[in-house]
Amino acid sequence: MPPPAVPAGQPPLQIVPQPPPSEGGPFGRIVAFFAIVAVAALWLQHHLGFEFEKLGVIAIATAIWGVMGKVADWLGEKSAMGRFIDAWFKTPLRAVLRAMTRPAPLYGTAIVVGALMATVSSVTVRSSAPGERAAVSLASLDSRGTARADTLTRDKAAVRFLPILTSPFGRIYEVDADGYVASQVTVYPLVSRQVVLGRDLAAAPSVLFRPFGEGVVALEDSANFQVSRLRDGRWERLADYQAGGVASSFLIGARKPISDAAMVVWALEAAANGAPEMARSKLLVTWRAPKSIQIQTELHPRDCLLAEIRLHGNLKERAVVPLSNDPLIDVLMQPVTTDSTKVPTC
Amino acid sequence: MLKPLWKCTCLVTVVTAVGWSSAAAQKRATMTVSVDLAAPRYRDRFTDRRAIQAKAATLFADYLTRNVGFLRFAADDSTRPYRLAFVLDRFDRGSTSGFAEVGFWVRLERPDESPMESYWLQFRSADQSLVRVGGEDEFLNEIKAKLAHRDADSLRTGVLRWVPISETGLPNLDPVGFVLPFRLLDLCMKRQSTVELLAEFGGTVVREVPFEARLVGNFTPRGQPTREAAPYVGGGFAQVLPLPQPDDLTPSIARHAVKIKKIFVTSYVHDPTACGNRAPMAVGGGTP
Repeated sequence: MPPPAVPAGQPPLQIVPQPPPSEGGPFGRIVAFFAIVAVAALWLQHHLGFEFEKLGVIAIATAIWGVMGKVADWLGEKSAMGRFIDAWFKTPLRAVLRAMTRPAPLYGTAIVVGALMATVSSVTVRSSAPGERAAVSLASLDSRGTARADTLTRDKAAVRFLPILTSPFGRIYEVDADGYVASQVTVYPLVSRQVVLGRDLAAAPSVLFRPFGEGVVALEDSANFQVSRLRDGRWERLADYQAGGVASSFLIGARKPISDAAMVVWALEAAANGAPEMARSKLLVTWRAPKSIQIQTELHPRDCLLAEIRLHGNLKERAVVPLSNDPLIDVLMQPVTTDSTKVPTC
Repeated sequence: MLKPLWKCTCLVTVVTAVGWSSAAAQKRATMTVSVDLAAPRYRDRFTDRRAIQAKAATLFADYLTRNVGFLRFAADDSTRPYRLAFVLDRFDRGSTSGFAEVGFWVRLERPDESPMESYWLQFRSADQSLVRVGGEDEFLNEIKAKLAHRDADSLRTGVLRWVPISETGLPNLDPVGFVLPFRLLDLCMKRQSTVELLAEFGGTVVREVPFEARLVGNFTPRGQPTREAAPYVGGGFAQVLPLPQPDDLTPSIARHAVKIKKIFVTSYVHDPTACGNRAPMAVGGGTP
C-alpha cells in the first residue's frame, strides 16, 4: 500500500509560481534616489557655490566622534551618545531606507527637486574692476516687491542673489549698480545669471563741465552752478551748487581719470579762444581739480543736460550737452552772447 | 594933505575889495560826473549797481577836483548840462572774448553836441582777466589805487578842453586880451596856460571867432576900473598871442563890439600847491 501523499487532515501541497520581482527593485530605487540627490547637489553647487569638498572637515569631526562611540562599545560602555544616535538617527534612517525601497518617495523627491530646479535660480553680480565698491540692487519687473540690495566691496568681489524666482521660460529682472546704467536681464532656471559690471551694465556716463573766462570769474565772485536734465519736455533740476567763491570744473557722475592728453587739448582750446598765458595757466589749474557734484539719479546715454553759471540770477555761462556712450563727456561752457532767456535743447 | 591921502587909501581899498570879491565870487562851471559799469562781469557782480556806481562817481569827482582846477565836479547831479561819464567796459568793444582788457572809457556829453568818447584808464589787463571782481570795498579800493597813479593830462587836454569854464569875460585893449572871471589861484592854474576864447564880433554881420590866448598874470587895471571892469579885477588875464592878421580884434575891442561867448582851457599848467588846501569830497560815506 502506497504511503499517503499527505498526512491525514492536511491539504495537499501545491506548487505556486514565485511572484515576478517588482520593476527596478529596491536597489534600483536607491540608485535613482542618489542620482536625484546628485543632480540636486550639482544644482546647488551651481547656484550656491556648494561643494562637497567643503564638508571634509565636518566629515572628519563626525568620524572621530563615531570612533569614540565604537571604542565605548568595545569597552562595554553604552554611551549616551550611542543611545541618542540609536533613537534619533538610526531608527529614522532605517525607516527612511525602508521607505526608499518604495516608489512613492522616489517620485515625490524627483518632483520636488524638479520643481525647485524649474522655478528657482540665482543672479550673480561681479565687478570688472577689482576692489570696486558699488551698491547693487535687483528687482523683478513684474512684481511690486522691494528691490533686493547688496554691496560690492574690496573683500566681496561678487554678490549673489538667491533664491530668485523664475519660470521655465525665464523672468525679467532689473539690475542696477552705482555708477552704471541699470539693465534688464532674463533669469532662466537651471543656469544662474552672471552679470559683470562694465560688460553687461554699461558704465553711467560722467560729465565734466569746465567753466570758461566769465564763468571762472563769476564762480570766484560766489556764483551758482546749476545742472538740469531735459525730461518729457521739461527741465528737471539735478543740482544747484553754491561755489562759495571758489572756481573749479564740475563733475557729474563717477570720478574718471583725466589724462595728460586731455590737458594738452585743454591748453590748445584755451589758447584758441584767446586766453593769454596767465589766464591759460589759471584755467588749467581750475579745470584739473573738478568738484564732484552729487545728484540723486543716474545719468543715461541720450540724456540732455543743461549746465549754467549764474551770478545774482544773471546767466554768465551755459552748456547744453546730449550724453553719449562715452564714459567721460568733457564740455567747455561758453559765455551767453545771445538771448539768455531762450534755453537751447539738445 | 592927510585928507586926500586917506581918501585915496579908502578908494584903493574899496576897489581892491570889490575886485577881490567880484573875481572870487565867480563860480566855475560845474560838471556832472557819473560812472557806468557796462562790462557784464562788473554790471552783474553787484546787486545794488546804482549805489556802487554812485560811490565810484564820487571817487572820480574827487579825483577830478584835485587834478582839474578850472571846473567843478559833482557826482551824479543830473541838473548840469555837461556830463562826464566814466564807463567801465572792454577796451575792444567789438570783442566777446572773456579775456579782454577792461578799462574806463570817458564820455563827454554836451548840450547840442554829439558826445565824445575815448579810452582813458586801464582797469584790468587781459592777463588779469580771470581775477575775481571782488566785493564792493575791494572794487572801490581798486579804483582808488588806479586813480592814484593816473595822470589827468589826457583828460584835461583831450576831453575837458571842450567844456567852457565860463561864458563871460572882459575884452581888454592894451594889451589885447581877455580877463577871465576867475583868479588863477582859484583855477589852480599857473601862468603859461593857454585858453581858447570864442568871441562874438558885433557889426553888420555878427561873427563868432576863436582866439588862442596865453595867461600871463592877474588883471590889475591902472587907475580906477570902469563899472564893467570892476568885477574882473584880480582875474586871470589872457593875452592874445599872436594877433590874427589882418587884425580886426583890436579895433573891435576899442569899439566895445566884442563879447566873450565861451572860454575853454586848451593847455593847463597845473598848480598843485594852489589846490593843495582844497577840502576833498567825502567818499563812500567816509572821509579820505
